[in-house]
Amino acid sequence: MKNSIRIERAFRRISQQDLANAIGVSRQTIYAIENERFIPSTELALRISAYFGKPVNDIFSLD
Amino acid sequence: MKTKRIILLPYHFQIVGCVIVCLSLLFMIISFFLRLESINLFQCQLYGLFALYLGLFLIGLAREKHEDEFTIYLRTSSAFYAMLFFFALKIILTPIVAFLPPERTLTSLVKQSVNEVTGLGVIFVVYVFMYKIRMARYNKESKKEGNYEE
Repeated sequence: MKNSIRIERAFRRISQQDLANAIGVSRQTIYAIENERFIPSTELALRISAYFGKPVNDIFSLD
Repeated sequence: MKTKRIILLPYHFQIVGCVIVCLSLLFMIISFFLRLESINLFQCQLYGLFALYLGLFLIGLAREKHEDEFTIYLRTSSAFYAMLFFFALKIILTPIVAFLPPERTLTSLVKQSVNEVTGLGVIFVVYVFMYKIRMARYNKESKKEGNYEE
């Protein structure tokens, strides 16, 4: 599953640590999701998309 | 939304576990090299091993600072790989031990070592090391590219 978290993060000029703090996970989790090594749960995907103010489909998409 | 979480010990137990592991290793090394006549070496090694397992048990069961679904994923996958490793080791070593010639000092030593290695405690040791190494790797990699300037 692809995601555009890195692009959204760069656009808003926030670090992985800032994003991790905002959604209540660790920096390693954000890194693993960005590099497609870990697929987040529905709950976490919803929290990430809510943080960026976009629908889940815009952040996460199937290969 | 509430999700199911694994019940774990508080984070501070990791530090306690690390201290116990270091002390037990130190104790085992000292007892091995000093070989004091008043101390039974076998019993010292046994106590050291017990303390080592206890320390690793605490490290393995204590929470991370940020325990989330990714750490739970790492824990479960590490436990799975540790179990696979254990059974692979058992499958490889069992026939080797079976075909060793009987009644020789070296043979009995090898058999004893194999029994130690394929003991159930090894699964937990492998699990703890695998989990901690993977966690450290992700920690290091995420530190490298954590900023927006990239």
